[in-house]
Amino acid sequence: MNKLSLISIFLLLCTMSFLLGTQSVYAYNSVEYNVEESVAYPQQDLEEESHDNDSDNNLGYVFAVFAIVWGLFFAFMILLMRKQTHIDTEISALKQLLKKRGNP
Amino acid sequence: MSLINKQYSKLTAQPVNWILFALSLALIIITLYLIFMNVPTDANLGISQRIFYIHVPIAWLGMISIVVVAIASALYLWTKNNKWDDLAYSTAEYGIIFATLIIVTGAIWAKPVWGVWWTWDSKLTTTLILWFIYASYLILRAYGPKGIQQARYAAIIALIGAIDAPIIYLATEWWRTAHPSYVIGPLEESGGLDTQMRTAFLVSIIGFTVFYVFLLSNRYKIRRSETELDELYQEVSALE
Repeated sequence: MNKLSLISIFLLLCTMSFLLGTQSVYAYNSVEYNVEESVAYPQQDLEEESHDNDSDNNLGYVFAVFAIVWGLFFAFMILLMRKQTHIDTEISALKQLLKKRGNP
Repeated sequence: MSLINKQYSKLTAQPVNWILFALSLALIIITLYLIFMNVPTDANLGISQRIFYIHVPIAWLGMISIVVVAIASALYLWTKNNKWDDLAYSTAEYGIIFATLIIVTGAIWAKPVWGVWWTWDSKLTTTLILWFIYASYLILRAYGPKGIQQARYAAIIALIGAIDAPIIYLATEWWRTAHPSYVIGPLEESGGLDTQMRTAFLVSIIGFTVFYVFLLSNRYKIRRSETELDELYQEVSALE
């Protein structure tokens, strides 16, 4: 399997390692989550500035998401660039070899 | 540095590729501006709601990928043209990246909102199944029988796997779930998204989709080069 799949598996395993130790969240009767309030974002519920202290604490989660997503994309693009360069070099070498053998 | 220079000169040599890259970069910068400078903070979910603008577009691309893999696989089975198989393989590689990112970003968002990293909710579980579908597809491509047989088996996995996409989308409709319902699209509930949030979300969706097309076109070209390389190796070994 290629490097990309291995990276994906590693990331997924890290996430899934939380599974066994977590509790269930049941729909509609969860104390921590109110579905009725969260499905929509009506205008009257919005605030220009957050006054919730928890929001500041959650900044780390937002940062983690953006860092992981863009980090992975960046790493993958580098991986692709290297792969392309490697393949191009190999193709030109093989073409030269075939040319030599074709015209001894 | 020379690697980047080489790729940069290749990029500028292909106008369509260059336009796609520039457009996706511009849209992503605008998206980031809108997410952090323009949209209001959600009163209920707080700042963590901003994860929505990256989590949902990634989920959209994860589901689109399996549909593209399935369509390309069906066309391969029909036409026997290797180009379709190459497209399916290239898309599946992105599919596993997006499926991984859906689960990872979802887990990070779930922690501050639900208090847990993961729960066996219908939407989350069906997304995990999607990840396993991509994984099984790529494992087959890496370790399965080589040649036409491998491509055929993989195409069948992709066709079966595509059934999961509508199930994921409709999971909140079909089962009791803690996952938020539709805030945009044909199944949108009353209220929906605030105008600024909707704009940021749509720009994000378009930006990620253009970026996806750019990445996919490049990966597809590399896949074609890999096929060419295999053929050259076969020619060389035939001469020996």
